[in-house]
Amino acid sequence: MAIKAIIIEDNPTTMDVICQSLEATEDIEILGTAANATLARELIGKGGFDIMLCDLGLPDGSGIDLIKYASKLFPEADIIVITIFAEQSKVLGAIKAGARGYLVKDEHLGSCVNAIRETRAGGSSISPLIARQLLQQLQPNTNELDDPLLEPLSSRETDVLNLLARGFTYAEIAGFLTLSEHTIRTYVRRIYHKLQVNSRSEAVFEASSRGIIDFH
Amino acid sequence: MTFIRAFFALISFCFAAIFCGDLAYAQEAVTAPHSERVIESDQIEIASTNIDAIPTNGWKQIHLRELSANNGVSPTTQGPVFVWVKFKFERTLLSPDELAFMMDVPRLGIKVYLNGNDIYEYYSISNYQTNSWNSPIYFQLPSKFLNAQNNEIVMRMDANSTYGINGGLLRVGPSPIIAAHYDFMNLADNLLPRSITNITLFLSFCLLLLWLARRKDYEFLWLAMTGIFWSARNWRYFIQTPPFDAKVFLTISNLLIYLFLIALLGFAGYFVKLSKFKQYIKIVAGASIASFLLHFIFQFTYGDVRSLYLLALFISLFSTLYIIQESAKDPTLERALIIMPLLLLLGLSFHDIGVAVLGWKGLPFSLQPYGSILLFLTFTFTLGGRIIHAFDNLENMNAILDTEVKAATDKLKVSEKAQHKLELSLAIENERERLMREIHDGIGSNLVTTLAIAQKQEANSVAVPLLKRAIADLRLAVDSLEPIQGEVVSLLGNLRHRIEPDMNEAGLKFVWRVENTPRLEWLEAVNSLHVLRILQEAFANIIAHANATQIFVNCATEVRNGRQGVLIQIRDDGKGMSDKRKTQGRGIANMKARAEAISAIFEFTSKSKSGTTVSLWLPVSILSH
Repeated sequence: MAIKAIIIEDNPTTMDVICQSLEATEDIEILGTAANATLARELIGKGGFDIMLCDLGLPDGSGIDLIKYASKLFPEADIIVITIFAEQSKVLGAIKAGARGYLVKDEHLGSCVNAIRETRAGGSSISPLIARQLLQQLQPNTNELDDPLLEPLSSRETDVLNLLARGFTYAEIAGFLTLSEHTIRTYVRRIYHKLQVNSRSEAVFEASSRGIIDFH
Repeated sequence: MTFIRAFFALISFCFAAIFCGDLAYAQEAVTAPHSERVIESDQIEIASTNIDAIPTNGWKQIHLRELSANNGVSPTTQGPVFVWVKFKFERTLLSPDELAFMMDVPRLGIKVYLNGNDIYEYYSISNYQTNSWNSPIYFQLPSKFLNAQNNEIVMRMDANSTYGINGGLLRVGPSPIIAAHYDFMNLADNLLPRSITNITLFLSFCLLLLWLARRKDYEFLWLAMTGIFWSARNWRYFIQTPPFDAKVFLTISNLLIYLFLIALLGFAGYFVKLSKFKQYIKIVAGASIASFLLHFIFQFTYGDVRSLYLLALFISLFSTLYIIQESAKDPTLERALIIMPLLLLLGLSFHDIGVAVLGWKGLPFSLQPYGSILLFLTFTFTLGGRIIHAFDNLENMNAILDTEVKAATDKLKVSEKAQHKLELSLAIENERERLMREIHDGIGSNLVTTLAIAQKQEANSVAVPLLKRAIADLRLAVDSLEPIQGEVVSLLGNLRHRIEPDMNEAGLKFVWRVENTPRLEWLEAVNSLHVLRILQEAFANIIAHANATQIFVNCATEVRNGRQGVLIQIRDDGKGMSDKRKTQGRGIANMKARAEAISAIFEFTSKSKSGTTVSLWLPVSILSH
């Protein structure tokens, strides 16, 4: 059964590149596209998608709101955020809202098909800077605030994030820990979920992701 | 128990003092030489008449200090009463010099006859309203009326009622000695008590004002009332002409003792903070009022009621014992200080009542008027103690307050600093976000779009690598802005993450050996960009020129010249560089310059056919930033 995707992106060129790459495959089917938040909301409302690719800067609204909306309506669907630079603040914001992966708008955008397949298979992409942030935000006993984390990192997850933050690839980490690469990807997915759950104490994360609270 | 023992010891002492004084007095009279001899006596004969003439019969022998209208004198309600007192003495017993006579506490008007001759008058009978008081009387005995042997002094004691007649010791002797006696008695029994009473009254009104200023301090009120009743009662000893009817005045004066008692015992009880003060004062007041009523009834029924003062004494005694017993549970200096004058007051009253009523031979003058000094003195000491204590407390509180204020100020400063830091970081963050949005939605977006179009239309156009380079540079700049808290490994890792696809395309593989390293506190956006540019240049050189298959990246802690630091090494397995290229390349010079800008050490080694090594040593802390 094909993976049904919807794409929310206001830049027509980016949209074209993504659409072309997806259309070239047989296992991914484009269910619909939207170039602004209003249309996107309608599209999400219709449902029926497995994966949603979403740009953050839309002309009439924030992609974060759309991600929140979609993840609330269809928690089973996977959401991937499209970003040019993959800054940690943007990606972490999207993950807190319910995204499970991110895509960088660059010359490799064509390989978004792989990202979609990996995400659909239960894995998530991550950058060292984001891994580092997650390590800080989710590590138990490292924050000075009284509010304990609802779901702190396990020691294995901490190890994985630590290696990711130092720039090791999934494959290398899998080698170190004698696990499969896919397992490492699912670890990342689980860590993303923890971030989302812990974001209920929103203020803390708001502050920490802005770099206002120094965790050390 | 110690208190009770002390109390009895004190009472015993008072008694001892009273009787010892008496003994000393008697001896003086016996042993004195003839020229200084004084006859002292209270042995008199008494008679009463309704007419102003010395009676010829009906004389009765009594002690003068027991004198009252009831003692052998029939009271009458019709007309004035003349009480006659006869005193006899032998001239030969005394010095042949000029003689004088004196009598203590005559109380009423008096007229004196020496051997039937009218020699002295102290207030006339016509001035009936006048009471005579504690000032003793003194007069010289004219030699011409004196007999060589037996002499007789007859005194007419003027009374306007059947009570109130009184008299003290009689003395006859050489004028200078009697005059000295008179001066002493006048001072001790009249002048001093009068001053003390006036001062007490003044102090009491001051206390009343104090109480008005501090209503919750009831001890002020209690003591003020004590002083006022005390002074009012003692007034009768000194006043010459009562402000209203003498009988009414005397009655009020007598009964004031009970009000005084309530006030005094109330003050003491309140001052020592009796736990059952309300019940205590009710009992004291009840007993005093009962005694008062008894006194009042008896006064009009029997006239002489002086023994009823013993009731007042008993009330005081029991209350004092209760106060002592309660205070003994938690003895403090303050409590002891207030109990002592209370006991002394009791002792003084015992003395006076003993002398006046029971016929003791105590000191020749009343002690009770001196009692208020003790009371006020003690109160002054305790009040002073409290004031000192309050000052100490105030100073302590000030000190504590100062510390607290300092702590609060320090805290505020810290909080202000934190807030300032927060505001600053928020401002930087906002500015960064604004810039990023610009880069993101503007340049970045356009560059990516342009690249996509270029690739689509003309994949081999020269524009494509240029655009790629531009995007990569922009990414580097953006990454350098990311907050990394000095973690250089994350910076390095992120760079790998960015360039890995390009490396893969170029057929290069990373061998990544990166350890956790200490934080570099100086690694902020500007410095990060320098580090990133150096590293990017190194990687770009490898892609462009090295012809390598593997890039070995090491990152670990390394101490150089005794300084902690982080060493990043990038080595390839490529063809290496000729010496000519080494000197020509502008890139290497740039990398070196950048490294110097951040106090880092850049090293470059390359040998033909054995690859190139670029290393960058970054200090943990920069001494002079």
